[in-house]
Amino acid sequence: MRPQPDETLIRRYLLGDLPESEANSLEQQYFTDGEVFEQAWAVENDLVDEYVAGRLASDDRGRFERHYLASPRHRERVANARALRAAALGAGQPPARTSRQSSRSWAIPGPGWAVAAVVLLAVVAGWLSRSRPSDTRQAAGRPAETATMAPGVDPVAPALPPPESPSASRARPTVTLTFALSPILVRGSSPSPELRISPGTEEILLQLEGDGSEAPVGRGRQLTATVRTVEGKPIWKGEARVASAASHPNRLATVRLPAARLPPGDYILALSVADAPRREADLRKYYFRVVR
Amino acid sequence: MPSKRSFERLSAGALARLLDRLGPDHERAAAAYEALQRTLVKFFDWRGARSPEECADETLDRLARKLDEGKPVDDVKSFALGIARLVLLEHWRRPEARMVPAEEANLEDLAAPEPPEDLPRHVCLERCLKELPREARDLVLQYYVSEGRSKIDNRRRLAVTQGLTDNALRSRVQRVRDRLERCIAKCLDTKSR
Repeated sequence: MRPQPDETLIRRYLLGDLPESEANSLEQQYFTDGEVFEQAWAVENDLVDEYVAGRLASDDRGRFERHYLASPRHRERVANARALRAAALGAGQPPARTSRQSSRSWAIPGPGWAVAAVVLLAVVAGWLSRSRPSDTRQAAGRPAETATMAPGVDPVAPALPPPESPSASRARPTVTLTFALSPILVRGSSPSPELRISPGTEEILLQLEGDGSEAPVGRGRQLTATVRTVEGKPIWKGEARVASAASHPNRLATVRLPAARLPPGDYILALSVADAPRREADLRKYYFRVVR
Repeated sequence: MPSKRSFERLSAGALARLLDRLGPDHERAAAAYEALQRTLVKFFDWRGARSPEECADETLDRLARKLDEGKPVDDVKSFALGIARLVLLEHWRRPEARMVPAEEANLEDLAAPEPPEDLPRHVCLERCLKELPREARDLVLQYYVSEGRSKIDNRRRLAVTQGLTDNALRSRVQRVRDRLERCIAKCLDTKSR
């Protein structure tokens, strides 16, 4: 039985960089050996994913664009891969790569980032003022980066401590983790934050960022938060507390929900306001991922 | 199973003879036919043919007819590859087979780190994800949830929880992804009308 081909060889084949005789030999292999075929298919998907993530070396990237993307079908495949990546990751670089992103950062412009940067500064300032152990992994420009800590490190960095104000590291009746979420202004233009919920967490406090002037005023105008999976399955619905525009101009509301309601997965939180009996109008949506 | 097109173009005898050569019973023959068709589509796709499915169907048609004519064939898959190479050459001779060179294609949208909002595609992807069985949907999203160094750990963990080897997991995800791509293509085609 012939050994499986080296993946480098398959990559060169897919990038049009293999001499014809070697290409023919590889084709003979994957036609007669199903394992080799699966391997070649996987290498293709990896190449596409690496391109979409901006991780192809420049030589390979050039070949990929000249050869692979010459096919309209392949261009469709790349576009689909980008959409799938966005769905799986929330359109952003995963938190673990954020701190290494400095020289290869794909700067993501847009108002969401300006809001997120202000929020992050406020969060860090509040956190430092509470004399918590410093955590410098909150990379600037990442919304809700409070959620993305090293394993075992408490992800809480609250700017607004909950009334009972426990940190997750101290034993208290209710263990609350706080996360700041920025709204997704255009789907795919901002990353969805990852909420890393540590064991023992009982409650999640979500600080929903946005233009504070959008918060409803007036009697009877309640804010409601509805959490659904990205597939639309309802998970939780409850009251959202309007933030004080004076003290939190960049925050719309806060929401408390039981941590147990959020198994690992992707969620959408819709903030809505009741503007008439039994009628709600959507204000903002927030995408987030729960990781445990 | 052979496509409707194959059934229409081939005689019952030719198709039966092909399936006979692919497997000892109907079930295994059908699986082998599907695998061969998938391999042919990918061959033409990787070789840059504009219409891989049509080329694959043409190859299978010719293969079935050759077998029906009584041509002695030791290795059906290798023989299919030989026919495929011929079909590819004929394909490239057609003027409409010319690929749009990368320079002419608008690669900016694909290469830019944050391309313009591709709303119909996102909408189609969401719809297609919803159409998947939940297990398949969760699988494909969890498979692509991480990158870099944690990617391998995440996929290994996923394989373990699924009771699969790494390769089996990869194959399963590839098929789900392939299904998604076809669904998105159909959805986009519907939206563009």
